[in-house]
Parts: sequence; C-alpha cells; structure tokens
Amino acid sequence: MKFCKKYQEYMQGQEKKLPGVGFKKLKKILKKCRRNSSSQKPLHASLAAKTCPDHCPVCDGTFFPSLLNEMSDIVGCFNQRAQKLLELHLASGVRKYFLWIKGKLQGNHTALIQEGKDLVTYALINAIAIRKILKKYDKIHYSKQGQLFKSQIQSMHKEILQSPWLCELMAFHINLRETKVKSRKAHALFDGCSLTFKDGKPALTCELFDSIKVDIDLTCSICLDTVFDPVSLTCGHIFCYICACSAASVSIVNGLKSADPKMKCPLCREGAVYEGAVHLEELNILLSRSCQEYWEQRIQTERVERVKQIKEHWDSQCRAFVGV
Amino acid sequence: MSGIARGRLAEERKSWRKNHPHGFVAKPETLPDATVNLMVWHCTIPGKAGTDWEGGYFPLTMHFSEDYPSKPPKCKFPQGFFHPNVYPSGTVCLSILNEDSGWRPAITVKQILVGIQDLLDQPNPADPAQTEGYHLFIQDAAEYKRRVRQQSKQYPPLV
Repeated sequence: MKFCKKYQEYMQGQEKKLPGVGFKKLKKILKKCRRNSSSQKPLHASLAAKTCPDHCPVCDGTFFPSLLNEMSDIVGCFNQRAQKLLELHLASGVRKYFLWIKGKLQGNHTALIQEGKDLVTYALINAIAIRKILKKYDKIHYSKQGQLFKSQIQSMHKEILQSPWLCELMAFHINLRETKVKSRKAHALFDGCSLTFKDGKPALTCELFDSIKVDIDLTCSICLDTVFDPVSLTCGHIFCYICACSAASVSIVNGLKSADPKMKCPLCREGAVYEGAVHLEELNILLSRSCQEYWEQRIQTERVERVKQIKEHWDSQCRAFVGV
Repeated sequence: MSGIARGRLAEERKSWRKNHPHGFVAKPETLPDATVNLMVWHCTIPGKAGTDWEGGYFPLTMHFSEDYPSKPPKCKFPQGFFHPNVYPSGTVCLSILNEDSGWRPAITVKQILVGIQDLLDQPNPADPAQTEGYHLFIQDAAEYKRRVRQQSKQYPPLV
C-alpha cells in the first residue's frame, strides 16, 4: 500500500480529530507545478531544472507556508497532549489523588498507556509524512530546497523528532510495558519501543512499519557516559543535568533557567537553548531501572559535586550578605 | 567543575584503549611517583601515508584545564615545529581547538588528533601562525616540501 493511502487511513482512524499533513492538497500543488514545467517539454533533466528552478513561485508561495502551518499545529498538539499525559502519570501526593479521581471518570490506567502509544505513533507517522512530501518536492524541482526547509524547521524547533516529549513518551511506553494492552487495528503500524545497548551505550529505539527506525542516543556528549538526571535542551539534544549546567556556566543551584542566552548547545552550537530545557523524568526512571549499578555509582559522585557546588553558592551568598 | 573534567578524561582513556586509529598514541602523563595525571596527555601523530609527512611520528602534548570539556585542550608540538599553522612555541592553531569558533564539548581526543593529522598536509593559509612556514608554503612550494620531508626524518618511529 502506498504511504499516502496508509497515512490517510491512519488519520481517518483517529477518534479525536488531530492536525496532520495535508498530503492531498500538497501533492496537488506539486502536480500543478509538474504540469507547468512539463508543458514546456524539456529534453532532459538539466533543462527541466531550468524550467522549474530552485525557487519556484508556483510552489514557494503556497507549498512551504502551508506545510509550515501544518507542522506547527502537529508539534503543538503533540507537545501539549504528551505533556498532559506525562503530568498525569508523574503526579504525586494530593495532586496524584485528585488526578486519579478525575481519571476514574475519564478512563482507566490502560487507556493512559494506549494514549501514550497512540501519541508516539502519531509523532512518527507525521515525521515520515513530512519527510516524504519534502523528498517529492526536491524530486520534482531537481533542487535541495526541501532539505534546506527541513534544516530551517529544525532551527525553529518545529521538527517533531526533536521534541523532548517524544523521548519521554518512548520511555513511558517502556516503563509501563508490563501492563497488557489490547491494541486497536490502527496500531499495527507501531512495533513498540525498546531500550537497546550497543557496546554498553544505551539508545531508545522505536520501529514503525516499512522498517523505519528512530534511534535516540542516550550518551551524554559532555561526560561521554549514560545520561544521568537527563535534560533536553530546546534544540532536542540530551545531556546530564550537571553537565548541561557546566556547559552553560551556571551552578546547579541557579539552574539552567539562569543561563546566558548567548550560551550555545554543546553539540549543535545553537544559542538560547537552555532556558526552555525540559527535565526528562520518565527517561530518568527507565535508566535508573535498567542501569542500577551505574546509577548507584553515579549518585555517589553526583552527590559530592552537588554538595560542593551548594557549599560554594552559600559561601558566596554569605560573603555578599556580610559585605566581604 | 574538575569532577566533570576528570570523569570525561577517564571515559576518553577507556574509549581510546578500546579502539583508536592505527599509528596514533595517546597516553596520560605518568608522574615520578607512578601516579597518572589525566590533565596532561602525551600523544604521537603519524604523518599521513602518501604525503610528504609520511614516515614521521610527531610528538604532541595535550593540556586539559579544569574547565574541560567546556574549554578545549591546548595542543603543543615541540618548540620550533615547522608548519604554517603552528606557533613558534609549538601551539597548534586549529578552528576546532578555538573556544570561540569550532570547539564543541562533544569533540573527542580521537577527533582532535585526526583533525591535527589532516591539518599537517592541508595547512590553512588564511590563519598563519609562523612566518617561515607560511612564506615558504605560499612562495616556494619546492623548498616547503623539502623542509617537511626533512622534519619527517627528524621524528622517526619510536621502536
């Protein structure tokens, strides 16, 4: 079955109306462009490239703005729903009790897990849809505009695979896998997530139909070890909290919110990525269960570093107060 | 932040021992009391095969600060090393070793050494660090090649 058809079937199968990629509409725009260029009967590819240049007025005015809006809606909807779901799962104390009572009325624990699974599928299938339509654009235009658009989207944080909530949902799915869930037919698309270890280095792996695979590396590129107390910066890169603080030149007491906007991501060198950093609680739970020995060892070393930084912080506060 | 620097360097050492490019050497300094100083590494970079640098095994010292990996290490060849992008003091001038341009904490010791090996045969005339090497590279290619070959003979492999 063609992806376009599979995608439309999936989107129609959703109980709640969710934003998606207007595949048909975007393909129509591209078809129109193809007709325009083929009416001039080019002899070969190089001529075709001339008749439909890198910057195509037919497409650029409608195709990219339309796709950008759709991507914004998809990412916005996904982030909002994922955040809500994880909040429900990670709540504690009175809040948990309140949400649990509310949850009793809205649906049970199994439904919670199913929704997590649905959201991961939704994110991945839309990521593939966007990739496919941009590939088609480049094929028709003999250009690299589609690839360029993709990298611009990443810097605007509208790329769904960059979302920290995707990583959290995958971890959430693995954490709750013990619970048996009856999958609905639409989810034959989703083969599930797993935590894999290659040379002792962990990664979150998720497989979708057509053997499409998403791998999220869980090695902190600052300490070169498994991420501990992980945070995701707004560019989507994951680090240990203490390593991220070190890279941002802030103490753990002040936290990443106090980082200078000029500070760049240690991997992609993008600026202003620390303020919106997200603590990956589900991933933290998953890794603490999967790497217990390492976790215990790391807790000890972290404690020493944290105590040292807190002591330094209060010493400086006291000196400032006394006026030394 | 020294905890992070030492932890990272211990990981780098582990990773290097597991797998490193052929001909390269990278070892933390051993002090007279037989303890290991992770903050200084003694390395050897082989000249790339098929170039004028072939046959030379060039010693390089890497000095890591307590702020590593937020700040890059300082890499030094012996004083007076002949290359357009090496200062008379021996310090290597390379974009990935510059905190303000190409350095990222994700760059490993392995990547630095391979980067310096590439730099040997592909100098960057836009960023000269010594007069002699730069002028010969620009004005007298034959003499430049002769000097490089001569220097390669000065640094034979350590048996």
